[in-house]
Amino acid sequence: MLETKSLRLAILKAIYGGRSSHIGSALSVVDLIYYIYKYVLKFNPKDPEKPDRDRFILSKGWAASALYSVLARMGFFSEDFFVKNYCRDGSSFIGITTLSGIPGIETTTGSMGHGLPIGTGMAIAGKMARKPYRVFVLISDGELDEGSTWESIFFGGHHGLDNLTVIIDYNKLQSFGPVKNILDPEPIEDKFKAFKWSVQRINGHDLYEMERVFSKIPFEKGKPSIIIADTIKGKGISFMENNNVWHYKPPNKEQFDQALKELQS
Amino acid sequence: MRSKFIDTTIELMRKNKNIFFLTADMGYGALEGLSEEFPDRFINVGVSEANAAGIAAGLALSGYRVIFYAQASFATMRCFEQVRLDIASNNLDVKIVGTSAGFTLCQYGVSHFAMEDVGLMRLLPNMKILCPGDILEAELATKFALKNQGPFYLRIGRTNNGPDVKVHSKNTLDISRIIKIKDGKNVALITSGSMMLTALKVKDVLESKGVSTALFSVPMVKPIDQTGIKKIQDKFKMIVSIEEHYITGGAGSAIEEVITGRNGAKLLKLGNPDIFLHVTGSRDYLLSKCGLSPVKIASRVMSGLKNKHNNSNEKI
Repeated sequence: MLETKSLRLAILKAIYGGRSSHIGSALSVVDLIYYIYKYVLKFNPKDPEKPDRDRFILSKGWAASALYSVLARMGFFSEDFFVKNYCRDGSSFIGITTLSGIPGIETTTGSMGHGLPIGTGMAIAGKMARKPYRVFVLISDGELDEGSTWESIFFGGHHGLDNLTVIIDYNKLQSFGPVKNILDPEPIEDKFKAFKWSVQRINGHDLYEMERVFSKIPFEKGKPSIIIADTIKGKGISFMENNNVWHYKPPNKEQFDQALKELQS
Repeated sequence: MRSKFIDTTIELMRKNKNIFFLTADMGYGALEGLSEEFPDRFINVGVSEANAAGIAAGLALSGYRVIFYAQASFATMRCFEQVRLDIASNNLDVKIVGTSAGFTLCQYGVSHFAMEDVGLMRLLPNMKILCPGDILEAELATKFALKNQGPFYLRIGRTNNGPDVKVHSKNTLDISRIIKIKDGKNVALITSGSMMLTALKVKDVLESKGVSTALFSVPMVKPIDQTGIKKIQDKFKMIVSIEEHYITGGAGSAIEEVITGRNGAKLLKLGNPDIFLHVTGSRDYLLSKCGLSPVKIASRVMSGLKNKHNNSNEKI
């Protein structure tokens, strides 16, 4: 968590400054996105559109601040530039990832259930053109409600897209409440196995567990991989953890100071 | 027109190794040759248009020029939001090909009548729309879409019950313009897409009643040839738009947006009225139910000529 503490700080400052939402979502996935960029993906921040780069799609585009904070850390742009511009008038640092000219952003997402079909198209392009790159798509557990997600899961399994990896941010909260009460995805691992995907499950805040599974991708040759990451919405700021109100509102001054204190301790 | 589209596409795919063909399980008895010739650039995605539209976007983001082929109703309506966000908003190089447009599948009812597709696609910035009306236009529209960058909607309908025909006397033309088919002085019929043969018959009926009638085709509905339409408005007394689509949102609306506020010809917009047709029958029967038989169109033009304040929403 030490490695990602400063990312959480940047997210907090950006969302507080931009009077924006979805801080809980960003804190849920920032460890995963950091690990993937730092230790898994092949890319060059000086040449972000290099054809043989690995692709990462944040299908849950409303966690954009987490992705921007990691892209800044990786050298695509400065952290200060992101924090000062996030959700400000006229800025391209949009609250939901959009092809707005920010280097490192692969496509527009955030309408739920869109990221996986697009990543699937990129994976097919890689297979058909015999390119070595891999595609990683991070989706939310709420996106499992969308039919288009399952159209892609069906397709990816059938076509054996082993250059495609999906990571599910399984924080168990969707917009109206617990996923268990709205549309329970359990038994979640069995569902993906039935669709011919190879499944691993980890703690999505533990970099050692990430190392254990990400180093083995593809888990099986000829099958797409899926990592079910158990996460905590709002992770790292005590009063935001597992509280859906932080899907919607920015912290006030007092809450910001308290969060700052926790992250700086 | 569908076979002309497929033949032209095969020819272009031989030359351009960058064209990728996706179908959402459509094309039985038509796409087999293409799929066998280009196994590395053809995928049947399955009956999943939302996935297909997203995959098309992903392929385009990876450098391919992508054709996404499905029935017009499903290629545009089932996955409208994917077309809007993934393809149009990112200005991606995807050619959406909607087959069986209009009343092509006349016996199947509302589920398979595609009367909203042009209107929906016209709403989207970046989207260009081509509605060919004979086999020459089908060939040229296919070439235009596949040789130009960016999102296109290519609408493939049926012009008659028999084999496809060539109406234009020339062998080449500028598909992006409004195209004159027949000369005339008073009334300008403007057909878009599959109504071309009907419009020819309308011209004959009107001429027999002594109304000098010109016939134009406007296959490219977006961006529409504004200069050409304004010239027609300046020259004629009356413009009649004819299309196999809802009156709202289609080619007639596009023409209306150009001529509104200008002096010159008034416009009679003809198409499918604002109803869902819960009947079956031949294409000619359904068109006639919509007031789109040659005789019904001609009589509406005649009363429009008599009535100074034309209203295209009059009862049919």
